[in-house]
Amino acid sequence: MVDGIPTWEEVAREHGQFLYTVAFRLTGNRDDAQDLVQEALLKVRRGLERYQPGSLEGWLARIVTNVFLDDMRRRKRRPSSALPENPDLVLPASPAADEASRELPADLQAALSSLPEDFRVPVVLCDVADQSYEQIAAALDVPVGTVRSRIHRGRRLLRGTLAPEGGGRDE
Amino acid sequence: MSELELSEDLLSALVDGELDDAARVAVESRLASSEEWQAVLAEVAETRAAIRGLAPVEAPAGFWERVLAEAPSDDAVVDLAVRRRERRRSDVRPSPRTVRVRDASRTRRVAMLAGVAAAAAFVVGVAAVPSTPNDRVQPPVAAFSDAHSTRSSVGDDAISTLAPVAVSSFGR
Repeated sequence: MVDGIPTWEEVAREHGQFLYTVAFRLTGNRDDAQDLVQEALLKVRRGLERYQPGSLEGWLARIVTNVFLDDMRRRKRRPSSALPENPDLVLPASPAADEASRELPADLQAALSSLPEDFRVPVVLCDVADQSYEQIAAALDVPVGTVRSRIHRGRRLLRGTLAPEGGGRDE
Repeated sequence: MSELELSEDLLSALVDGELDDAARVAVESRLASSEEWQAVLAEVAETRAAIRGLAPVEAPAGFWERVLAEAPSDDAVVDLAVRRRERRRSDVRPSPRTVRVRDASRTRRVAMLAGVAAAAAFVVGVAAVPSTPNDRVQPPVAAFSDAHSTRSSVGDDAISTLAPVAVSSFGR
């Protein structure tokens, strides 16, 4: 480490599990998570010279998220999802968790994977990467109010998926 | 001052610690008088805790050793893309969309080659044709007309005055 800036090898050794966990929660499968981590580490290596010592995991979460979003746009796996006014109308995509996590609860991971990207990414950044709304807003280039709304909708969809008979509250 | 209207996203923000002091006090005050909203808050907090309770995920054995042994380089981007395509080809049957894309790509390639070939043939053909000084061609209309008159009817009898016509001996 030089001047508080780690080498990419140190990042891989000390924060690798964090990177991999965020990547896995975003992608829902091991193969894509591994690809995502490797591409993120390439960006880390290129960007370390410009890194300002601070929240390293926040910086890493932002990088892995950007790589994920770039990849999603490039591959266009799913049609772009216009945000519905009523989250109850969202039809979950087929679960991408083809090799659902052995780190149970698998049903929660599958539910997370089935969330539309617009909801899944903020929820993962908030609840897995532990980022503030402000950091998430910066990473996604959307207003903080949008982040708050998407996190709420994402959690509500998850709750509906995991306990459909529970019923949410209409606003 | 009107009473704050609660919403679930406000409760999400509350459990995330994302409300400023004034908003937090107002939400908590409103919550205190509503058991119904307290139940909603409990659901929101429970969902959040469940996601946050997911265990960190371990990468497959040997992954980090491979990553550290092969320092990421610009070439790695290409390698990863190739590896992903190969993996998808071997693991997953291509979706109809993928097939369509590949077919379209092949069609475009064939069309492009055909276009290049046609253009080349045109260029060769143009080069092979001797150029003429005049762009305008004038057929000898007067001469054709005279010859036709000579061979055509010359009298009133439309049949007997027809110009003789050679009869082919073919088949005789």
